[in-house]
Amino acid sequence: MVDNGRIMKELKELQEATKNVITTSYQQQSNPITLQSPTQQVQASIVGDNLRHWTGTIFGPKDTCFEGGIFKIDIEIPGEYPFKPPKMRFITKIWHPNISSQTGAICLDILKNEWTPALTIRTALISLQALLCAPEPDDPQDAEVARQYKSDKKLYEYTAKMWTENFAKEQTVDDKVKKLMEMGFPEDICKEALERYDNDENLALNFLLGG
Amino acid sequence: MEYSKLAENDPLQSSENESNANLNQPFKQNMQINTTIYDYHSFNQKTANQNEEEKKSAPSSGANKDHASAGSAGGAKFECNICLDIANEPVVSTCGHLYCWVCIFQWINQPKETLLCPVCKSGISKETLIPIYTKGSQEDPRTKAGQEVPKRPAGQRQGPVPNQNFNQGGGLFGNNHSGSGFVMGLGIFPALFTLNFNWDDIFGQNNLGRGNGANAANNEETREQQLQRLLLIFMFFMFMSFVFFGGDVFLTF
Repeated sequence: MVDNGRIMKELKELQEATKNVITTSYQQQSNPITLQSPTQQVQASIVGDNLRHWTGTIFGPKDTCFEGGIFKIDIEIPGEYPFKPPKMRFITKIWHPNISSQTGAICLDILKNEWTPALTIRTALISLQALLCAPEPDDPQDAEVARQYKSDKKLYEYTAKMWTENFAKEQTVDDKVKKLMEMGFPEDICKEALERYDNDENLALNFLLGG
Repeated sequence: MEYSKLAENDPLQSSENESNANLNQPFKQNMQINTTIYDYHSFNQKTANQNEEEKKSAPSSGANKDHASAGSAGGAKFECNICLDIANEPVVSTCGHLYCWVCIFQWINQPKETLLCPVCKSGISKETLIPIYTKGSQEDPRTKAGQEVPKRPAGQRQGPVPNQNFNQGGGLFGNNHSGSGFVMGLGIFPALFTLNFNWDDIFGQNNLGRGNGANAANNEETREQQLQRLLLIFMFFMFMSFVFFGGDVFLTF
């Protein structure tokens, strides 16, 4: 059994850091909810009671196709941690050469053989954020994205932006209603459809198109 | 954290400029700093557990906050880079990174092609790890918990190394580093030829550097120059006495 103590420590540190950032951003009168502060802000918290199952959150870096996106990451901490790397996977769909667009699997050396116990969940998440800034198409996880990145960068950027827009941004119900209305449906029907499908935009659209 | 606090409170630090005027003061000051460091170490060990309480009660200065976010609770800087706890049976790699012996042993035993320092990826090996023996150090509880961990590597001891700065039997000039002057007698009537050399009078400007730890190396150089100059003066007197008294002088030596 390897120490849960270290995991607890990391968690505490992350929570403290998050608290600090929130308070400072309140002080700076910037938006405290989206936390789009210039600092490399990452968050993580445990899922349920299981100390070895976390969810991480990273914010799309500025001046990239992922700007404004909020990406959720599933983190599984193996028994041998910190001597073995944590298993990380994007929950949020993302269009990136080193991240599978299907499964969210990540190709990053420090999450494989370059892992060292001096790294932490926090530093690994920051590395992921850096990976978003600097894709590595020569060592791809998703061959299709990598091919597009190399052959048609404009298209890649467009796709990545669209994916960020569609999957990585939290939309209010009003936003969704507006979007559906733009497609030519009346407002009350849009609202009804969204309500019926638990605010799932795609299902609502299917319903509107089908019925 | 504790050290900086103590340093701030050190009354001698604030009067550093005045102390330079007084020759004895720098030595005192050095001693004071030494004891401060010592206090810090024992303090750190003693209160590893109490630290957390202190943190709560202590007024949250800026420095304090930095520490709280940089390292987690407890012994501030002496944390193992692997378990993030205060290092138990500490060892340090040749690249200077601190670990618990049990932690780094587990890392070394991972099935890996190369053995690298977790922090800087410099090569490490079990043999080159240096143990840190602290006062009243205790065994790591994990070694008792049934894990098969050998004893940590022992420190490497050398035979005594001769001190090059120590001038044994310094002869006429002595090794008068601590005093500020010395007396030199010559010839048949020592009293007549007694010369009272005083560092302060002759090399007054050197006073500023003395005892000021940062200039220690510099000091050493100037002292050598002084000795050379003194030797020249001495030889000049020898020559003069030879001229005036002929060979008689040497009979009395």
